[in-house]
Amino acid sequence: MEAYYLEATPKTPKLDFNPEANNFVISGRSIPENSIEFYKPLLDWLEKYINNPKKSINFEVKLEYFNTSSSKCLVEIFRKFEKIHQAGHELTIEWYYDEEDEDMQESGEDFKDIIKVPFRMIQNKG
Amino acid sequence: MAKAVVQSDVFQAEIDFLHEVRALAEDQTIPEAKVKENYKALCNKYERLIGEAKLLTSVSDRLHSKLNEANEKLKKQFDEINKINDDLKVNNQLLQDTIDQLVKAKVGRKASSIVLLIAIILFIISEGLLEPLVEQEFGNDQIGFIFKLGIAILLKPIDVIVERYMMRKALKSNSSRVINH
Repeated sequence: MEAYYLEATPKTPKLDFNPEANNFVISGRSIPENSIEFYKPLLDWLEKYINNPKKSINFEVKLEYFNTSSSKCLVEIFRKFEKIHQAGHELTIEWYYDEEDEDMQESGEDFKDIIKVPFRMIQNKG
Repeated sequence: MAKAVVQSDVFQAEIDFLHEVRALAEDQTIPEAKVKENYKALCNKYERLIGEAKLLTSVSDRLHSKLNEANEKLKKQFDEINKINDDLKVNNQLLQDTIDQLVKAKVGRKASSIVLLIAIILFIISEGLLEPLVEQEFGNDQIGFIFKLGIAILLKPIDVIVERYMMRKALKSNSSRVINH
C-alpha cells in the first residue's frame, strides 16, 4: 500500500500517512474551501488501510487552527481509527496544543469525549 | 445553493443511514427481533450524532468567539491608526509652518544683507561720482542731500522686492525637493 502524503499550504494541513511507519501525522492549519473534498482521498485511503493495519499505531494531531467542517472530517478520521482499535490493534491518538491556546486544548478534550480510542493531550514545549 | 450542497456532504454518512433506516421502517416483512436490532443500531447512531453535534457546536462557538475577538482587535487597531494619522497631520502642518517661518527668516536676513550692499554701492556712487559732477555743473550742495534722501527712501521698496524674489525662489526649490522625494 502506498503512503498518503500532502504538503501543508496556508489553508490545508500536512498529511503524512505512511503505512510502513507506525506514526501518522496531521499538522498545520485546516481551513480548506471544501473540507469534504480535501479529506475524502484520505478517508478513502484509511478505509483501505483498515483492512491491513500495523499492530501498533500512533496518530499525532498537531493542528494550529481548523474550521467547523474540518472538525467533522476529523471525527470521520478518528472513527476509522476507532475501527482499527476495536479490531484489537494498539492505537493512540496524540493531540498537541500550545500552552496559551486554550481553544485547541478544549477542542482536543471535546474529541476525547466522543472518540473511543486512547487519546492523549500533549502540551507543546517552548 | 453551493454552500447547501457542501453542508449536506459533511453529513453524507448520516443522510445515507437515515435513508437506510426509513426504508427498513417501511418494510413490513422484517421480523420483530430484527426490528429491535435495527432500533438499537439507530439509538447508537443517534447517540453518536448527539456527541458530534455537541462537538461541532462547541468548535463553532469557539471559532466564532475567536473571530469576534480578532474583529474587536482590528477595530481597536483601526481607531488607533486613525488617531495616529490625525496626530501626524497636525504635526505635519506644524512642521510645515515652522519650515516656512525659518525660510522666511533666512530669506529676510539675506535680503537685508543684499539691500545693505546695494545701499553702500549707491552711497559710494552718489558720494564719489554723482555729487561732485552735479555740484560742479549746478553749484548746489543741496543736491547731494536729495540724492542721499532718495537712496534712503528707495531702501524699503528694494528690500521688499529682493525679499519677494528670494522667497519665490526658495519656495520653488522647496517644492521641487518635495516632488523629488
